[in-house]
Amino acid sequence: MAFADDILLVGLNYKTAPVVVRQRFAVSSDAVSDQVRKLTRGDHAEEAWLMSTCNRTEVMCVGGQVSEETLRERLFADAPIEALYVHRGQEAVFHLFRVASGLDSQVLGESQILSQVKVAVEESRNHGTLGQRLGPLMDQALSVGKRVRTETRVGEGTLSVAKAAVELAEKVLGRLKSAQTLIVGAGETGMLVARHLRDVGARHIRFANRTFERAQRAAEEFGGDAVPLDEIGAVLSDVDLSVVSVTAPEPVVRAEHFNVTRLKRHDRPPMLVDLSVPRGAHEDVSRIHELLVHDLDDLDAVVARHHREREAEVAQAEQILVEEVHKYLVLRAYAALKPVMAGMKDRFERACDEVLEEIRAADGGVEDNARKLTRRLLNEALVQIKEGTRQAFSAESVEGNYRRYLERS
Amino acid sequence: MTPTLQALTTLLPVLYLLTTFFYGMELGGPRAPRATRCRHVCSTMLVVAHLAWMYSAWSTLGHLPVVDLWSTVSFAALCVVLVYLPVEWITGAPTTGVFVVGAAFLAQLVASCFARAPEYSANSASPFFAIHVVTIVLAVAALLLSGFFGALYLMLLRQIRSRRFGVLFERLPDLESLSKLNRGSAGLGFILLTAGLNIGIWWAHEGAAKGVDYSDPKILSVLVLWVVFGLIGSSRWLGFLSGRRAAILASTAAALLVLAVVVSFLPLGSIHES
Repeated sequence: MAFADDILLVGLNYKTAPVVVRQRFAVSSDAVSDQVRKLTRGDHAEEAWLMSTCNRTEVMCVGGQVSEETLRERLFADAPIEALYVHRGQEAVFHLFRVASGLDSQVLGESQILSQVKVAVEESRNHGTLGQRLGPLMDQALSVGKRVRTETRVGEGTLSVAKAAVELAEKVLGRLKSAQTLIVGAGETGMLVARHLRDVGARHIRFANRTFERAQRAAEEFGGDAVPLDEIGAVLSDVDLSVVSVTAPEPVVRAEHFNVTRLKRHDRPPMLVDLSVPRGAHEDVSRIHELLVHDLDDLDAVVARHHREREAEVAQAEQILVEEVHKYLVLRAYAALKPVMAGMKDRFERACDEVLEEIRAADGGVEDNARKLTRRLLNEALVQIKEGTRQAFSAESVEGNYRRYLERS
Repeated sequence: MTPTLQALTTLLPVLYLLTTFFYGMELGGPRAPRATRCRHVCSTMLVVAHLAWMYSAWSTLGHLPVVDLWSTVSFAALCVVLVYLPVEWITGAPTTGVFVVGAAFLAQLVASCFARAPEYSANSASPFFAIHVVTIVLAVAALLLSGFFGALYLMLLRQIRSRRFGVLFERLPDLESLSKLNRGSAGLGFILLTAGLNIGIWWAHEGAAKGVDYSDPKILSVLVLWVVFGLIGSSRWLGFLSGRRAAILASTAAALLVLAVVVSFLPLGSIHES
């Protein structure tokens, strides 16, 4: 149907591109506003929204002369063709709702994505790039995200990327109770990792951060030690597990920070998990034979089991998603028909006045009957239009389109 | 061979095969409580049936029925299972069972195919012989398990390093558990081997005029293995071998042990004949 056809979404995510590709197209939070402004400048797009997280970079546009090629050139230049996905119209709406509800996340049902969508919506709104078309769509996406989480158990007791990292470490190394751990980056994810490490009994947690005071605060909270970021080389070779979660344009952990002789002394192989995009550990680090290096892509090994356990919940969440897309399309249709309905009302009123004038000239007693008749006619016409719109967007046809979208994506 | 022994000899490989099958389901199939129950029933029946075979043969002969190559192979299969089951119970990780019981099945299948009626041997009548053989074969089983867990450790480490997270990664115990199993089995094997060797040496000095020939390469190789497994078993405690090195050493030593047993057994029929 034409009501959503001009919506265009282009992006890449953890399913289509590995970390090394994703990090090339990650847009820092400072650059997001510039990018959306550029997209809506001139005659490119009427409205635009952009979100960039560790697992995806996606842009959605509507109106104007915006095309798939424009978005590719501006945001994904030189991206491998197979890494990008393009969704238009209803498919773009399906995709957005899936993302907001956590169904498209690497860690199924995780809640962090909803707040990331919310932040991206606020940023676009603050920069005036969300209007009559994408504004309501984004608001509905946020409400779909909340509805899926409250009405299904898809996000109940679920993993986060941080928890998945700790589970991966446990699956590889075994119990972390006596493990020496280092968290590089005391941001939101780093603190989550520390919380999960504490939950599994890890007692020796060290923190390194660009702002040393922040590392000290984290160390105080978790009863560990703080290490200045430029001195991590002194401890990296001695810890059993290091988790890197930083937001930096250049890697902060490098091969020269490690001492192979000290790495060899470990009873179990030391492990480094890099949760940063762009990568926080340099590519050279993965060439150290004595060290097990893993990144976000490797978390699939842990999350696959959780996905299987939640398959029934996914079906229920998808039903909600189809309902909401149906609701969105009907609302869009109402909005599109609003001027038509207003016009019809005016025409009917005018017609009524004209008829009354004629009747008054002849016999004024029929005025009430004539008005009643007009209102009745008008009401019938409106009901008919609304019913027609509902039938045009039957829930079954939306569901059929959703299945086709799933097959394609 | 009595009809009971004959029936049990035929039944044993079938029970080993069934148990292997249910262990296989534990590793590769969907988690099903019914399969787990079947595995418990089969493994219990297997141990009971094999012990019944031993008891029946012992009653007939009047001594431990480990008198030739094939009866030793069969007894080794039983010992592997007897050492493995408590290990599995302690670790709660039955996913390695398909390999262990699978190997025991192959050993039992060959032993059952070539089994002959056990014959009385005057040398085997001594109770010291029974203790010596039981401790040594149990030790060998423990050492083989140590090597097996070491090999699994190396295989899993290789998969993790190359980021291939398949069924083995999902179902096998973690590296630390495999390392503990490797060292624990080596330690148990070392203790049993110490006991078995000492009893054997003492018994040889007491019973045989010529005593023990310490220049015998077989005796020397067993002593070398005894030292190696002692080192592996105590490596964590003493802190001188990493998990990976202990795994390499255990799997190599176990492979050499198999080689030594095959080389000394196959042409001779008994480890002490020369």
